[in-house]
Amino acid sequence: MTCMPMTKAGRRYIYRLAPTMLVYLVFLFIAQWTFHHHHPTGVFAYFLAVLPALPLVASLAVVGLYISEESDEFERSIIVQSMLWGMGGALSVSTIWGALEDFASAPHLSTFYVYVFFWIFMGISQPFIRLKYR
Amino acid sequence: MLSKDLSRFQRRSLALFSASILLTALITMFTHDYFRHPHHSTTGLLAWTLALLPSLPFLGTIFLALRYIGRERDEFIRAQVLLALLQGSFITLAFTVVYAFFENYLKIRSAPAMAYVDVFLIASMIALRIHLRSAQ
Amino acid sequence: MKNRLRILRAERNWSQADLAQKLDVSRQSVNAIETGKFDPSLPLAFKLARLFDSPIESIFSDEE
Repeated sequence: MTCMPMTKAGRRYIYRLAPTMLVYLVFLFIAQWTFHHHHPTGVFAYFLAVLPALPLVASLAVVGLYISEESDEFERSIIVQSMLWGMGGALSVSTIWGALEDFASAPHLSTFYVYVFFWIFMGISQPFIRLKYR
Repeated sequence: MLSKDLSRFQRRSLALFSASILLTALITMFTHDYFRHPHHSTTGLLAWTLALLPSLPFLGTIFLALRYIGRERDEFIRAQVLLALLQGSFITLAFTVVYAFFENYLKIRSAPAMAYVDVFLIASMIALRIHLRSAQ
Repeated sequence: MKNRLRILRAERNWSQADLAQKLDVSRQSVNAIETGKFDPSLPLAFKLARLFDSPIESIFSDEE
């Protein structure tokens, strides 16, 4: 998803992330299809709704594992900084747009975009962070 | 929470951070009140500018946090703060992902603008407290 | 932090990539340390000292 160096920990990150994303696609399909055709309710509806979220949460754990396993402290520092910029960017955009939604009748942007913006800002920030160390 | 062990820089950073959060809350309340008034339009340039006001002190909070991380000379404290911010980030992202799917499939109400920021700040502060406590 | 890594590397005819491979870090890490833009941790500093068979103080200097 982002530029990860090909260290041992980096390779392990890819090997863990790929199946996680595959599981996400499968769970997403299951949830979409079931809600569209069967309109579940109650506890089962909650279980189905949270199903696609689980591999996405697992993908965050995969990133966490990468950070703890990466022995190259410089690369680890780059990833940590880019994650914080990612979070800062995502929270800034969601706060600004949320305020426009609440007060100025702007169209609703799904909460899912916080997660998307996190990865976008994390990816964008990395080359700039690396430039600092050249 | 204010410990006499804090350096002058840490005390000042904490004070600035608290002031910025308070400012965010005050401006949000003012904006809420303004737009609740039936004669105040929710469209147009003025409305959009006023709607953006609560976000400004929050952006200031981010700037203060980055400034603190860049200037903190105590490596151990800096490492604990970074770890707490990372853990806060993970918790916030997990929360938003689960909430997004509940929004989409169960049609629950969208969270207010500052909700994710609140989750992030609370999760990070609790994590930091736990780390610093266990380091004593 | 100022250091003599570039000189020590040149004495052995090692490229940054060679040194990175011996330390099990990326070439960018070596470059960042050499240019003084990134300070290595103690374990990495000791690794460097063992590799160049020199005390840490002769490789790194914290004079500003």
